[in-house]
Amino acid sequence: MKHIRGIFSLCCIAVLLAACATTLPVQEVRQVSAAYNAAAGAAAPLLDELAIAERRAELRAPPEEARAFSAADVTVFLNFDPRAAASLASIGDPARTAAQRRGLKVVGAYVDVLETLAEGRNIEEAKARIQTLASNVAALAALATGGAAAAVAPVISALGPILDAAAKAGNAEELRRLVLEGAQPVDDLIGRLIDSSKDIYTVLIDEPRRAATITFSQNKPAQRAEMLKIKALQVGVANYVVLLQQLRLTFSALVNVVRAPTQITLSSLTASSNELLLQAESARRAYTILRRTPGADGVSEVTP
Amino acid sequence: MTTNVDSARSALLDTIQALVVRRDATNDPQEKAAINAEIDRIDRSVTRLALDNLAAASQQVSEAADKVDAILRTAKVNPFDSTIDASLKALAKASVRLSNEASQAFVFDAPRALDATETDSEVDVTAPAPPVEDKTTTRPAAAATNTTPSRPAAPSETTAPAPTAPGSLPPIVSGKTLQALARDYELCWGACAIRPDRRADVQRAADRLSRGEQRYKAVSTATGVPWQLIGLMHGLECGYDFNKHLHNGDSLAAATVHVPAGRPPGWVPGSPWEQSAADALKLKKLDQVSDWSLPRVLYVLEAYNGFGYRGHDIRSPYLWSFSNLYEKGKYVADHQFDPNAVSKQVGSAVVLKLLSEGGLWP
Repeated sequence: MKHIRGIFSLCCIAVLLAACATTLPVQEVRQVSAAYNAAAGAAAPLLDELAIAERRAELRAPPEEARAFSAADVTVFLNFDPRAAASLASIGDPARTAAQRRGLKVVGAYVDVLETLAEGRNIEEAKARIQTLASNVAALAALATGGAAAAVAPVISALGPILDAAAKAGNAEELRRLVLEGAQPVDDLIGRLIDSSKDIYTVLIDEPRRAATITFSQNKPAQRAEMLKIKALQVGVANYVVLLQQLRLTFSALVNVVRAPTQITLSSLTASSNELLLQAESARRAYTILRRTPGADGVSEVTP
Repeated sequence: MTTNVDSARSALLDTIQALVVRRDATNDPQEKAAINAEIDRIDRSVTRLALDNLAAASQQVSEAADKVDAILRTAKVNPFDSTIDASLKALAKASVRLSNEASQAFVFDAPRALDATETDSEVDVTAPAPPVEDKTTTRPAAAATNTTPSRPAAPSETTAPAPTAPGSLPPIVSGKTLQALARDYELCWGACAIRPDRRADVQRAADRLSRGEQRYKAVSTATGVPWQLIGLMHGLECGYDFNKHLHNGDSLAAATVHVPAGRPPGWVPGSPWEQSAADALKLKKLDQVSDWSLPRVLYVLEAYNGFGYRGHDIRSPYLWSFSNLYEKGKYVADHQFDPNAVSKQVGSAVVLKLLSEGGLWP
């Protein structure tokens, strides 16, 4: 019977794959995932602030062609440019913030795929697909030969351990490919995100800078409050960068493990990951305190 | 590292700072207002510069993200994807092969029945069948008489075949016009009996034809050609495969390549089979025929393959294979007749006979 031959072929492929199975760097991928979550956690409130700052800055200093008109402290555009819609809208992120957020999310999606492969979250679903396919093939074969469809479920069930091994081997191979192919592009992306911090910071502090240096130049209490806002943003951006740098290091360690697994690399990775988790928690607390107490002693409390 | 942009920004901020000091020092309201206006103008430039720089940095982030995204799109999160792909491709290939093999069983695979002196010129199938008899020649039925009793007709250069006695076969008649052959078709039709050992094969062909009845009827409505004839031609040329041109069995993926090439004109791949079929029938002017009697149908079918068999004293397997009217003899190449080769495809008149038994003809 053709379908039996098909299943047998499948078994052979599975066994062959299982035979060349490689070890999955599960722990290392989990550490990269933890590093990403820490950076993304720090980035979320920062990028929310950036969205607000970007919109305000865009209204204050629109491109010349936008024909801004100000009266009674209100600025409007006399021309509507669809390209500026994201900056003027009350929903979604303005363009620059959206790009930053997407950059981080792409890293997240990449790490998520690595984690799925490393932890074998896809195996049950893959086995279900194999079972469906085998059932369909058996039914087709029965239709062609005029015989009854063979019950493939018990066969697939019996093949469970072999399929598991084959799936793990497939996952290991794919993970290795993704890590090696992604090594440079992911590192570049994290690097760009880090480089962007300088310009993110400038836009974030644009309003409090103006208030502190121009508007409240002779009002010391108000000026101090604005200075504390800047300080809070400075700490927030710095923490974000530190966490991105840690993510970069952790990912770099994973790449090294995949390229040439050694005990030295593994231990150094573990250390940096634990350190990173502590720092992530510290960054989260610091940012929360600073945003809550802009006029109090916040600066001295959280100065790193 | 300090860049030109950083330097420009610092210079602007220094200027603002100097103006703020001056503004705070003066008591002149007019001067204050003028300085504030200048500060505001410069400060807007600082803000714009910050936005532009962030836009450039974000653009670089986007480009880097696109590269990672491209890698992500290649991720195979199902470890059996390649196995499944390979299985499905193999399955699809096998299905196509089986389908082709199944269709091929019905295609009449012999070349056109043309003798060395004949050309592959078209016969005018639209010519009326006047009562005046054409010059014809009758000979004893050669091949079929080996196994089946028949009554040889007296050789005659000018007469049409006489009616056959029960249990006998009509004589072979030469000629290429409907008026010469009409009577012969009627006699053969009356004498035709499906070989018992081939009845199942004929039935299978009739079943395949019946499955396409609705599609043939659609073409019939457009052309006036009987749907049964369209189905028979479809079986002989294409093995009932609706992915092939009725003209010659070429793939519908392009206009025809073999003779008649380039049909239908302006063919767009993906167009319906019916469109091509109508073109094939119109090309043969079958849409101009109004008299669709049995002799006309059989004449059109025989003309499709050629009248060369009559010159070898056998009836065309294109019409009569698998019946008592044909035993052996077949064109195995252009102008090359092998008296011992046997057609393995069912004759179209024999399928029509079975349809007739089932009430599907006329």
